[in-house]
Amino acid sequence: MNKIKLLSKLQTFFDSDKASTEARVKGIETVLIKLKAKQDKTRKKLVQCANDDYKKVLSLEIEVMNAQIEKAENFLKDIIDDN
Amino acid sequence: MIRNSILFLTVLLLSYGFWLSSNFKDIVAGVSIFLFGMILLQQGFKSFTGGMLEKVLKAATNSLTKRLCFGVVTTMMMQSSSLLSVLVISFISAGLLDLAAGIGIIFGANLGTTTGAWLVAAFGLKVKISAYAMPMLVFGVLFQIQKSRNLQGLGSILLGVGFLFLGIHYMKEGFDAFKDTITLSDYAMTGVYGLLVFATLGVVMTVVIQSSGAAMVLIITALAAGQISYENSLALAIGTNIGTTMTAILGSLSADIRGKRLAGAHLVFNLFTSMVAILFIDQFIYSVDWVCKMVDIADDDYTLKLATFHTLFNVVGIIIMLPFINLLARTLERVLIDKAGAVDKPKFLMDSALEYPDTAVEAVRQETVHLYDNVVHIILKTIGLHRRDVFTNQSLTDIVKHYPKLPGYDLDDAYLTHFKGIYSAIIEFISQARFTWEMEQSGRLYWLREANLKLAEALKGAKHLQKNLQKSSLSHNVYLKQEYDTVRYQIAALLRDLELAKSEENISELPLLSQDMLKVQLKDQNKKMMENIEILIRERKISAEMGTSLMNDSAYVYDIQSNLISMAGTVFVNHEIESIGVEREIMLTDQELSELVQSNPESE
Repeated sequence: MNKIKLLSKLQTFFDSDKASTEARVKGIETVLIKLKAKQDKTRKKLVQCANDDYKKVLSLEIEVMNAQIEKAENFLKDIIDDN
Repeated sequence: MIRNSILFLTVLLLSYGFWLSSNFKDIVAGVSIFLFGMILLQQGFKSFTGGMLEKVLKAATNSLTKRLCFGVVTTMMMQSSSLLSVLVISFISAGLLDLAAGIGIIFGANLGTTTGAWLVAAFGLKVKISAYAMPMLVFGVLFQIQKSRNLQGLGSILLGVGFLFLGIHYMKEGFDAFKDTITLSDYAMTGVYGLLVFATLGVVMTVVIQSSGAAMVLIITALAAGQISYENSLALAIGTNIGTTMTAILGSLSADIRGKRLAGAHLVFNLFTSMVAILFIDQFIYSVDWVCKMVDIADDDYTLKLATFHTLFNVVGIIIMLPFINLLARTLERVLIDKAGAVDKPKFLMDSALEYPDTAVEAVRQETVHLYDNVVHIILKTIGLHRRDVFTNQSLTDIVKHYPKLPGYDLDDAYLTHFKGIYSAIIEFISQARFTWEMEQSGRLYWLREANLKLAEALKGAKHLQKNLQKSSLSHNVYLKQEYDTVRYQIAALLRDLELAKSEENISELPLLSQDMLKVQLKDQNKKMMENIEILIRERKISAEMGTSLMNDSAYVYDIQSNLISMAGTVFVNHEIESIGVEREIMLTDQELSELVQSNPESE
């Protein structure tokens, strides 16, 4: 009886770990989708923009989002590799 | 001095009364035990409910009906509206509730206090109440000595109810025995004269006892013992309604303007309700008879009829006053104005908020926003610009050009007037709160304290910058002037961005990641400025001394801006949105941001 209890506790423990990893992956994926959508919007703005100074700001913003997307994708890859 | 004299006189009078009559002693002891029970009941609810009351209040603020019900139920449970008043004042101060919403809750609380009369009239006088009191006291003490906070709270509640019952028992016994020696009903008065005299007596009695609940119990027990007439008891009940506002007003004397306004609303409501009850007393008596007939209350059951009257005239008052809640709130806000001195004081920090963790965190956040607004004011004055221009859609370049000269501005004085007091109050409040709790909110308070430190750092940067900025505005070197105008432009641009972030705190998508853009822009600006200064020195357009000063000042500007961005990350971002945890992980580090700026071809 005690062994069964211990085993079920262990299973719950491992399952909870798995569930939290899944939640983290889902969270990163959601942020990635939002980031990419935001980047697309900024790209469209850049194409339509006529002001040179504002163009520079928009390009920099796209670069920042690129770096963030890259970082998020690396995180995601690490989590998947670890599991 | 006056307080001590009154206390001395009261002790003297009571002692004389005790010496004269042992029945009087029983009655006064009953009132004292009843009051002690109320204190314990409140203490119990405070520790037992913890943040629950606060959470319910948060959920109950979105409709008038909910606010009224919350007021009724909470007061019914605690048998005192004072704890609820304190909670409502702290909510109003924290900006979680407006005055009109608070008034709605107080109206409900007024109705809730009338349930005490029902409890005593229907239960307390009909059964041997002391039989219930004893086991409650025993269990109460037993729970009180436990280690668990919840059990201790439950113990206080049981002790509170036990003492309430015991108090009622003593009052009842006292009045019953009193019948044999003195019959107070011989002094009964009829007509308008009797109504006014006994209403005044009710006011005095409530002011002396400092509790309308206890005063009502005293009236009901006296009525049950036949010591006062039914008609006079109605007048006394009206008097307690007025008397209880005196307690609220006395309590609000030490409160801030919000507490005073709420006490004002309480006074207006109770005075109005009592006036209506006095003017239409005959109609009320008739209505009470009718209601009692409907619900099968015997015609000679005067204690229940008194409880019905008490509830009825409060209900009528609420029905009449409800449509005017907003008008009342606006009038009170207009009449009771904050006459604070020259030194800016905290607006949201109330000692009472310390007892409610979520409210305390929100109060500190709101106060930090208040402090931020003052810092923005000081920084804009330091760079010779105005909020009215910067926070519009006008071109910042035009605004900076429009104000070429920097008027003298006493930053030290501004620091003392608009920063130091609030800043100190916030730090003190956080220290007390973190000392009191061991909860997750302490972590949030830690970051809020850091945000306040960042504001202080930003001001320090502005102080360093001011001297050279003013010198440059008088300089004949156009290149130097141009560079310092760029500095003013950069600071104003960031303040404009942050003002936008401040107002969009709940709707901005990926708010933390959006801050990376602001940070990278800072680094980019700083890099360009340094390169520009080198060029100016090389081309001998400015002297090396001017150049090094500019470089130092550029570092101060960077400090001001990065401190403000860091503060905004804590204060303007809604940390309850789902993506925050992931955003925190993805946010670029300082090094990653620097690398991005170095590799960005657009910044060349």
